[in-house]
Amino acid sequence: MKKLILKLNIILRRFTVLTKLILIGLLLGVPLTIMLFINLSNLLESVEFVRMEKAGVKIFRPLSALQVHLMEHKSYTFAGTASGHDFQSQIAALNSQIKDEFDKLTAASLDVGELISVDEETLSREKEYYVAPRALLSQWEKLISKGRNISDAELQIEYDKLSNDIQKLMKLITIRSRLILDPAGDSYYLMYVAVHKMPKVHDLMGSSFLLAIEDEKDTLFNSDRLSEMIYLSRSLKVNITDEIPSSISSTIDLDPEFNGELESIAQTLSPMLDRYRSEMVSLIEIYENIIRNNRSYGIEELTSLTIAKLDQSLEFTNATFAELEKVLNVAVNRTYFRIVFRLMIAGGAFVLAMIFIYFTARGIITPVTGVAEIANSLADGDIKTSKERIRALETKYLVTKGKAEKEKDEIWNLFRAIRTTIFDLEALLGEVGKAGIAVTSAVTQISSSVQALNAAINQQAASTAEVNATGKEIYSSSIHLSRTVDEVADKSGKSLQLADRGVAGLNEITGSMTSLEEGSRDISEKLALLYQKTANISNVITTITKIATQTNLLSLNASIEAEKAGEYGAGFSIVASEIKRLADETAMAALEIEEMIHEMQQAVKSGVIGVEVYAGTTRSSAGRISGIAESINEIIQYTRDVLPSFEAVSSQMKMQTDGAAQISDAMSELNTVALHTRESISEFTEITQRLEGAVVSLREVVSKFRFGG
Amino acid sequence: MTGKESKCWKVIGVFGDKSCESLTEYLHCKHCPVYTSAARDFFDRDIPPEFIDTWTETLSHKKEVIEKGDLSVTVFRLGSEVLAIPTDAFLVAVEIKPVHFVPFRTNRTFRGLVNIDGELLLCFSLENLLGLSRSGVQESEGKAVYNRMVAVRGANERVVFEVDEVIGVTRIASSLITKLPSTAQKAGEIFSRGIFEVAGLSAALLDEHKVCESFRSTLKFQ
Amino acid sequence: MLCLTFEIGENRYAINASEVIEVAPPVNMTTFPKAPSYFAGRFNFRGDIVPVIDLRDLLMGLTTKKYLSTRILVVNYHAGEETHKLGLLCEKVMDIIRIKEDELQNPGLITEETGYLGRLINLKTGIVQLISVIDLLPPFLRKDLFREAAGE
Repeated sequence: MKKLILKLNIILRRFTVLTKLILIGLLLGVPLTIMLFINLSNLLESVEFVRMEKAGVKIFRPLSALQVHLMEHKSYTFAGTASGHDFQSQIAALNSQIKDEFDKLTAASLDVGELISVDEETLSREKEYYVAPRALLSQWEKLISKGRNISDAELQIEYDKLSNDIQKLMKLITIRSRLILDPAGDSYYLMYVAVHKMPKVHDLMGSSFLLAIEDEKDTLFNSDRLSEMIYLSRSLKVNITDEIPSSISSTIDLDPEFNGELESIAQTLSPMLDRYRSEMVSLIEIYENIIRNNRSYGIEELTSLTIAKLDQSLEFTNATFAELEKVLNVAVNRTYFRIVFRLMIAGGAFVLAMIFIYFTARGIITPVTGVAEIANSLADGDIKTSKERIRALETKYLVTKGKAEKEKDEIWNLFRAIRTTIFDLEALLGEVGKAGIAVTSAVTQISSSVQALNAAINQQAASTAEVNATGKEIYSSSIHLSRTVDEVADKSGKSLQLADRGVAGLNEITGSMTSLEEGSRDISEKLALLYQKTANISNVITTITKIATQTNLLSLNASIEAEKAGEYGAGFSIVASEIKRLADETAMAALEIEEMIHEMQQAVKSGVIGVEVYAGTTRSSAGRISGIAESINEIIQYTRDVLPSFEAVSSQMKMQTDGAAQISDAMSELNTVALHTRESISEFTEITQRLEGAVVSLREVVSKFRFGG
Repeated sequence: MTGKESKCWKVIGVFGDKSCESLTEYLHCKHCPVYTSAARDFFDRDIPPEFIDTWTETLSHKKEVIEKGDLSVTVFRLGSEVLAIPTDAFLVAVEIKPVHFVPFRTNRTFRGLVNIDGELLLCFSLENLLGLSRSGVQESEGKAVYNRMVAVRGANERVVFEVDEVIGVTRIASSLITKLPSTAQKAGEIFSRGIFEVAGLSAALLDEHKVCESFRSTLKFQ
Repeated sequence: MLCLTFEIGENRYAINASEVIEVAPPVNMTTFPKAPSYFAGRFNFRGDIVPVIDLRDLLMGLTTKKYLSTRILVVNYHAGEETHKLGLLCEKVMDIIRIKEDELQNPGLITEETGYLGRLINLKTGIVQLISVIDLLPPFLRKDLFREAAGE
């Protein structure tokens, strides 16, 4: 641990103090900046969400209007057929309104479609089927051009398809622009009304109107249609009198808490809602009268009344959207204000931190630079310049001499210590210079006597070396011969090992072939077992068959019970028809499973045959490999017979080599003694030379210092 | 190409390349008479003899008559807890559907959006709201248990949450519901109207308004 | 009017669903000794002994085979003031259709023996003929059959 801290210290010393201070500033500043960045990007994301919501509203508005106008168009068309009255002028006016709305829709989708991924290119890549605004227009034009040339039923389908596509696109926009997820309470409830409830109200109005005029056409008012009519008018009533007003009042309640300051919701939207509600309640009463078979209106009157109410609905929807856009604008502006405020605080803090770092750094660096310059000139040996610089600093920064009691700055205390050191050093150097000269003369005398001794020893060493060389030659030639014999024996041994290894490898292969054969036999047995087991699976079919039959029975009995329940069974009869479909699907599944089991049995059967063929091939390859192993074994036996004769030659050669080595060793010992003596003398010479060198360098060092006056 | 002999639903139908012209009319093969008729052909086969014995036995028993109470509740299980909600507030139970994660909004309680019968509804985690654990459930032997998503209606909103099993609908007498003391502090008790016994189990009747309101409040800015 | 349809041979027939108590799967039955062949037998339906008529035998003289699609329709049988349960054995009881009263047409040829065959309706998938439950049994059997059933 201590070592680690020390290493860190060494690394940190590579940087100047200013760099370190800036580094600390960065270390503290960067995380703070990142935190600020994250905070700001969260806010920017909120803005992005609101922008997407605004885009959604922009495209949603013409779509919503289209839904209503299409409903009106359909109502006029079918009311015309039912009553014989011609609504040409109204339809013509409606056509141009629809055209206008399509223009708005196309413009809006070109403008902001890409932002919420509902532009044509994105829609064409969707897995699910969606229709782009432009394709909706062509669908509408096709519908108009077909007009009265096709039957009512086909026309009905065309209308339904177009309105389904519009509603599907509306739903997609709701998801993509996150309209339904607005976290602010006021805008959430406004959207809930505009995006969710109002399209539903339009749809309910259109459906109940169509049902009412269909009823007029056909005097038989059967229970299916009656229950549907009751359902539609009840849903309409719940939406109009309960859900929409409560949502709008939630908006007004929550508004001050969230986006606030929008009095226009309470002032404009509430009275509008009251008017709209009372108008709608009168319409619902008319429908309730129709349900009680109490008709006071003809088709024409009912048509114009319903369409007037549809227009009012649209007007209310548009008013809701207008309020929604206001609320969203306030939300964007508030968020931008927060962003600017946070940026200003962060900037101020940064400037203050930089000013503080500058002044701290200046306070440290100035005296340290002065001290460093003094130390530098001292290192050069220039004591004169050092003293001049000390005096210059003293006068410039008014430093007190000696120890300062009150000043705590470590750097100025360091300066005072250096000043004392330099004055002491100057005195010491004078003494050293004088001592050096005396030592030098003594060393010179010792050196000359040693050189004479060294020459005598060298002569003895040369003659010993000559005898030794001859002994070594005999030794090396006998060793060479012995090695050659060894090599031949060794190589024969190695080839024997290789052959052995080959046989072992072949044996292994034979072993694996056998286990392969066993394995395939095993697989074959298991497949046979599997084949038997698949037969058991057929029992599953019996169970599924039972389920399918019981479900079919249930569906029939459920339909009968639903019919007996009369008006209350309307919902239940839908469940009964779902069960019927389930029964059909179960039966189909049983058929498919049966087929699959049959296929599986076939596959297993062909698997058994394949494995048997494979096992045969494995058996014959195993036979061939064991033949090869036998012939290799014969070769090994032959090599093994030759090997002992090589070993005899080798041992005789070794005895001769040992004799030569003994001579060589004796000579070497003698030589070593001579060498040791010579080394001792040269060591002594070296030490003397070193002492001489030390004295010379001491004198050089002392002479380097320049002393001032 | 159409016809049950060629199994057209696998070739040009929804299980094939979807090129069948009838698909524009029926949308899915399961509504098409060709498919339905093929399914019906399945029933043209002999009955395994044990079926007839079983059915003879089943039909000889009288139908059970169920006692009626004045309050209809839908009972479901969440982990080891048995809970109930008034059937009036219960909209629909469906199989588990994918929940669309919503960036920056999805949290412990709010899970995202889910498509229920064509409508987008907000999906929540009831176990996290009530502080229950869904682990440690013993599955009864020989009886399949299906996790379900259920849609429930509050005062103003409709919400979806997941349960481990929808046990069924039952009628209970509201006089037999035991009210909880007002000092109840556990999350599960705050949201319930009382406790009643059903088929030997003790079930807590949830207050759907309180539950929906609490779900909604988790959506606000934190 | 909600009707249950079934098939006998190539023909489709329908029965008013309001008369149907339950659609039951085929079960084991005890036979009537020495009865006409179209009496398939009796069975225990939720505590009641219910006689069963084989419609295929009655209409075509061939015994109904026990397939998975074979069903016993348990219907209300009004004999005078009393109401009894009667089982009708038939094949391919698969569909429930809704028929409008004014779409029904008269069948034309009806013999005295086949008085139970009622009016026709023309559907996309073919002609369906209504069957009148009350006329299925010859008058002399109407009371006796159930007296015997109840007595056991």
